[in-house]
Amino acid sequence: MAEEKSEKTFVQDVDHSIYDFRYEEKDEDYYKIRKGLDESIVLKISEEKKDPEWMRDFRLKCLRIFNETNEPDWGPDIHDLDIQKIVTYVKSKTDMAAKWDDVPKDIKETFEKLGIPEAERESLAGVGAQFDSELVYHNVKDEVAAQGVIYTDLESAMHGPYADMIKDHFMHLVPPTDHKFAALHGAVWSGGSFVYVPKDVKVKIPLQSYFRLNAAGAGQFEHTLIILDEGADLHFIEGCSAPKYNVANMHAGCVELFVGRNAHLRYSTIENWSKNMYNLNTKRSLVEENGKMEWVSGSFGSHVSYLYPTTILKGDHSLCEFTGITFSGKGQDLDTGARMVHLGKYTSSVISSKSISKSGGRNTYRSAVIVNKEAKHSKVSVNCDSLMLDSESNSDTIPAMNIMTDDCDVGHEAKIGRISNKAIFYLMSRGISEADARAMIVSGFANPVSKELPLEYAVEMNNLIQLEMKGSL
Amino acid sequence: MGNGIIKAEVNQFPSLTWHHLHINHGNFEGKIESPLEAEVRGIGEGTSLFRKSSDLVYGFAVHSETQMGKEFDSLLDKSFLESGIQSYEFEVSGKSQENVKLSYKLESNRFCASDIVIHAAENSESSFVIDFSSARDASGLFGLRVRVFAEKNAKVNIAWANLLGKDAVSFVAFASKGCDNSSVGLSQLDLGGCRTFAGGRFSLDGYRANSSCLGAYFVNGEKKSDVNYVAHQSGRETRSEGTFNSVLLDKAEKTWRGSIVFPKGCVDSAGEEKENVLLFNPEIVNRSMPVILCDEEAVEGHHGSSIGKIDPEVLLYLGSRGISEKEAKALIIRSRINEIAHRINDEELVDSVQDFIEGVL
Repeated sequence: MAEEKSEKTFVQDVDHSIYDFRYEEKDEDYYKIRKGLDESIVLKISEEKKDPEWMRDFRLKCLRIFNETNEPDWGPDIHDLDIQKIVTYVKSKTDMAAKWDDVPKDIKETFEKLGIPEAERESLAGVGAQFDSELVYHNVKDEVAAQGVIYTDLESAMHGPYADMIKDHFMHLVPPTDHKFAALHGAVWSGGSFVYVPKDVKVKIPLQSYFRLNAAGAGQFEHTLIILDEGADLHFIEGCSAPKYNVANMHAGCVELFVGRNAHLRYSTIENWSKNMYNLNTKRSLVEENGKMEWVSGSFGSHVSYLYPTTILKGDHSLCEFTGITFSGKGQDLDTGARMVHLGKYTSSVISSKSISKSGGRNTYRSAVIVNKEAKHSKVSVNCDSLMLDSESNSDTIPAMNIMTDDCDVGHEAKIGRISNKAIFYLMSRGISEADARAMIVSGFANPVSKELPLEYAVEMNNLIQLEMKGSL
Repeated sequence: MGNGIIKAEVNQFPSLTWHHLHINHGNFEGKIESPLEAEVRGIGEGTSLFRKSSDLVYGFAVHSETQMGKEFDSLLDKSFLESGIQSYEFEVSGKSQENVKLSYKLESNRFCASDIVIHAAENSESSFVIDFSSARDASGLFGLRVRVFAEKNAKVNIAWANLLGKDAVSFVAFASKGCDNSSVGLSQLDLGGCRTFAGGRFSLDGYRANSSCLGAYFVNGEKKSDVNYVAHQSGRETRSEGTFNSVLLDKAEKTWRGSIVFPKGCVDSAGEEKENVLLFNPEIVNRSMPVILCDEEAVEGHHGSSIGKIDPEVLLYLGSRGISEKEAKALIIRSRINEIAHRINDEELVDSVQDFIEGVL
């Protein structure tokens, strides 16, 4: 008998269970530094990574700054996060591979379950896969490398021909004094990628990094540094996930993006950390004259998130678009948004953010737009919409605008509410059931953002929000 | 007479954000030495005025919180007692036919304050028009606290206009509490002075309580204006509306915080706030933070901000009609202020406002 297919038309919580698998990390296969944070741990990490002297000194300076800086007195509560219980460095006792067959079996299986090798074969120009604190796999397709594109792990790049370039850029955009967790990152960072796209080179197919944190009670502190030379073009995707544990995990990564004159960078992220994760990530870009920066951000995981991709529009006629969606469910307190700093003339920025909160989830949209005195003829548009699906949840919008010139045009709009009864009534008057109507409205709400997400590459997307209706993701 | 120095963080934002934006709160430092007596007119049938020590006013007022914040309110209470400031407590019953008017005239180099409490009884209707002025070059300080308690079905409208000289400091601390089906409207024309604190905190506690806050802020010279608007909608089916027009010239600096707060239980409530800011000079600084804090699903919150200079096409059009750029700018400034002023049902006040603006323009 054929199974009767029923169409479900309700919004489920984000299903993390398919990512909730883990492998035991045995001592013979993995090196784990002891828990906590002090000078000896930082020096040990530096030694493991064979840092040049400047990097070792930099780490120690960051540790000092971390110890001297207070936690933020705004945003979600992180008092349960105790850095002294976090293992800041976990490494598989194997070298990074350029072929999946050379990756240790359990790690390879992890990434196969996540669909990374398959995505690489079908639709990516290069992949970096990080497991706990180190990259385990890195590869870039020959035709992309032939264009002069560099896509490699950051550590080896620090010792190669790009060493000076990295030294001139590393944590210059996000200095350790920026906030406490930027300093932490600077002290214990490990893993991550370096990308350099030469002048006028257009990378037609995306590069992707995927970060998997497998160890319980551990932190991941990868650093991504991307430099686009004049006229270059790149789409970079990052994804992340972790199994759920009963202890806290932590992510304090850092992304620094330099977009040269007339260059274009699209940076897409699907963040799907487990619900024991404290996600305190810092992302920043600097855009030169006529450059274009696009952020596409989907935040679905973490217990607590502080995440505000920031763009500095330095060059005249530079522009930035931020498109984001955040879904917070039970036990989640996600504080996300964006920041734009207008320095150059004729700069423009657009922020479009959607959020959905459900089952007691807490969602805060937080943004800042700063238009400096010299940023004449700038244009800004900010739009944030929040949908609450039940009365257990919370949703706050906290946008700020700091304008220091008269010669600009700034518009902002925000809405918070539930599914409109009038809209449901209208759809029902057209013969659509109430349940279908609700589902259609939620799908429509998310669609302007979700259609920008890299569906064909971010293999988790179809599993993330189970909007089981017609026209779903 | 006390020395009455008050130093406090004021106009705090209900939910902190990045400190580098300098928007979480304002800073007040000033002194209150003595009361400033008002010329009171228009007390008709149904309105009674009592003069009381500020610690003996109607119960709700003692426990209310203005938008300036608890710390400031508490310091103000102390200062009022030390300075011997007697509150104006109005008891309103029935439907008043004319506006109750309070006019304050500040002499230069005086540091004064006043306190108004309005208790609007059930089903009453009343309007209060307040102005405070001084000579054009007067310095000094004038502070006013207004607290309103609107009982069931009461309607209260308050309008105030700051017409102080260019070197005076002022604050208006406002709090209202609305019971079932009540309506509290506040119109504020903050036009004079060199440093001003304004806004209001509206507690919509009753079922179907309404509030409306209209503000016009003229910020010129080196004036600093700090506004904090909070609509706290705890009752069911409450409605709040806020419209704020600002004009910034010269080296003016304005900070505006607008918060709509929907705590759990305020089912089917709606809140809206709009800010329109017109910028005239490259040295201005404008900070805006329109915020919604929501713990209840079944509500609608909406806010919008529009910040920028005059549309050049508008200037071009007016120029084509023989209006110079200077005249055109003056015309537009007047229209922004009058958009709020003309909603005040008091010809005398509106005329005073027009005269003041013409004098400055």
